Amino acid sequence: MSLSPKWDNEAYVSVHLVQEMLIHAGIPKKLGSMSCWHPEFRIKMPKIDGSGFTEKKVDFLIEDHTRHVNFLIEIKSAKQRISDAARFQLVEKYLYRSNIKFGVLIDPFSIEIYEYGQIQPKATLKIEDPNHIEPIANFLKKFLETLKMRTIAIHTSKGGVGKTTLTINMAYELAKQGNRVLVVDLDDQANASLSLGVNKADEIDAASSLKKVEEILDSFEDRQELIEFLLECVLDDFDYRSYIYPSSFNSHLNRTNDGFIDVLPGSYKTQPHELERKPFADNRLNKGLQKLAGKYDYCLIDTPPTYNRITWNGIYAAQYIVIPSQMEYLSVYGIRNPIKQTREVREDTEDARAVILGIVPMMTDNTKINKTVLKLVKKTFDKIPILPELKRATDIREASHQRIPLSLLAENKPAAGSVAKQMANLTHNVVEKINSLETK
Amino acid sequence: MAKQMVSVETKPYTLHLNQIRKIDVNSGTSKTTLNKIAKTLKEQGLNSVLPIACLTDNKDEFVLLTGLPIYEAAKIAGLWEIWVFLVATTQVEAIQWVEQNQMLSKLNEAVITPKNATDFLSFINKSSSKLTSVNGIGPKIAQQIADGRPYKSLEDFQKKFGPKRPLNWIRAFQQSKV
Repeated sequence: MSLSPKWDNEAYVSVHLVQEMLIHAGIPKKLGSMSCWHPEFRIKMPKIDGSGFTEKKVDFLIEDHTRHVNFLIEIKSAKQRISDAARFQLVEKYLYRSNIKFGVLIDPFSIEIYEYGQIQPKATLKIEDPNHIEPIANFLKKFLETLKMRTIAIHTSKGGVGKTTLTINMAYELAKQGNRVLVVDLDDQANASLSLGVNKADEIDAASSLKKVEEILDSFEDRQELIEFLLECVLDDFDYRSYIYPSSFNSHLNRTNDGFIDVLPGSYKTQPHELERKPFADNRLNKGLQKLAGKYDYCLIDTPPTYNRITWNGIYAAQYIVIPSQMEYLSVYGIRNPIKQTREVREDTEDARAVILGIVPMMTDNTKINKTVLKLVKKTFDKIPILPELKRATDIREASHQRIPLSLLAENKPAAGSVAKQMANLTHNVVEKINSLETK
Repeated sequence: MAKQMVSVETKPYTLHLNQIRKIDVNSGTSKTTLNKIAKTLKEQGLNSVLPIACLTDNKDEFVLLTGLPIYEAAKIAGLWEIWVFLVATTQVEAIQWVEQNQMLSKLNEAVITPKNATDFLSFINKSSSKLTSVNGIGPKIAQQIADGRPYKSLEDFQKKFGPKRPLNWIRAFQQSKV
């Protein structure tokens, strides 16, 4: 097929092929205050003689906020087509220097997607007709789906309602279904990090004196963890791997069929002061998670019950929010607050962030007050779904004490089966809800 | 409810050096001066005079409008971030902040303490002092100062030499002692 000479012009290719493709693939130019397209994205390259840096411009940096992926696009024309030199430049120079994992090379005849460190393209498509955008956009969409990560924040403004229990058990259930799960601990009490076995809980338990405990805690001083992740994720040589640790839960997971749990842990160091001095400080986790593209299927974020810069990082990064709440007299306030607080984020991101999946009734029993409050909650928040409840059970305490997931406790202690089943059911329900939202 | 999601406003922030858009021209400041500033920056760990910076389309990139030598010295010192006064707008509108800043920085002279003043007074009252060692005092003024000795107070001294010049001499005298 012969193409119109218009396709010899790179700017024409950019407007009529690339930008059309992005729009059709559901990646808008701008999403509320979140940017998506960064045209003429600058990349610093060292000069050959070592005398400093020059800047190269790559045609686009794209941030796909619904999938937590970012990638570069380099455009070629019908006249100056994709060549080995262009491939080399994209993979070995642009991806390497920008610390961005994926790059797209496109001309009116083909589209190639590369991952840094690999010579072979991850995916290629021969373009039959550059005027016919649909198949090209679908190809990109399909590829991005393979990298997609779903982010869920477990969030409430009331403490002690079982937020951490919910986070770590949901993580385990998801991993058991074969998912690669990352748990991000934003709470400075670091209960999730302790429970998931990345904060030396065994050593702390075994410590013979308070002084020993202090010594163990001091050792976190030099560890790279959440706060460093937030502060350093904008640096050129940022490598997310040095901040993330495998959970001890992984020893209970089957290596062949199951997924795994990694943790971005926190500690007493998780304080917002240093972040307060940074512009756009709420967006750090959101940005940093893009660097993990393709590594995880789910990211669960355990948030603190207060509102500070670190909490906002969690809400800004989370596509979905689950609100755990006890069904007690004051619970309604604990629910209303997060709904109100996060509204602005939903509006600002056109529902790409902080969509509330539902309320989880926690530690419920059959008392009258529980039932009355549940009714009241249903009436007050009639638009918010009530998710399957988690009944009060001593087994939850038991599992927490042994630092094992509920479903594992149930394997050895049949009586714990019921609460473990509730947990599995809840997780299933959450996934279903997300599936139905995303196919809409 | 107060707006919670303050993403950026016009105020001081710390920026990583790599968040500052690359500048092609260097400031032309001499190596010696840069090294001297770098040394102080390294000791203090932060800069107390804030360059003005503004936003770009990219949230991770900022443009420096003033204080290029401070940025250059910070690089030499190996600092990974500097304080800037960030104007939460793009370059065109931020220019007026630069003008205001230049005016303000002229007024931002070192504050003179009573001790500085008494030190200086005892210096000029001493007949053995080499007055011309102070920047701004030439042989002619030195003679006038010597002729008017002794001076009881700073006010007394200012009566003869005006309000402004003595203050500059005190600052220069302080600096020459460092």
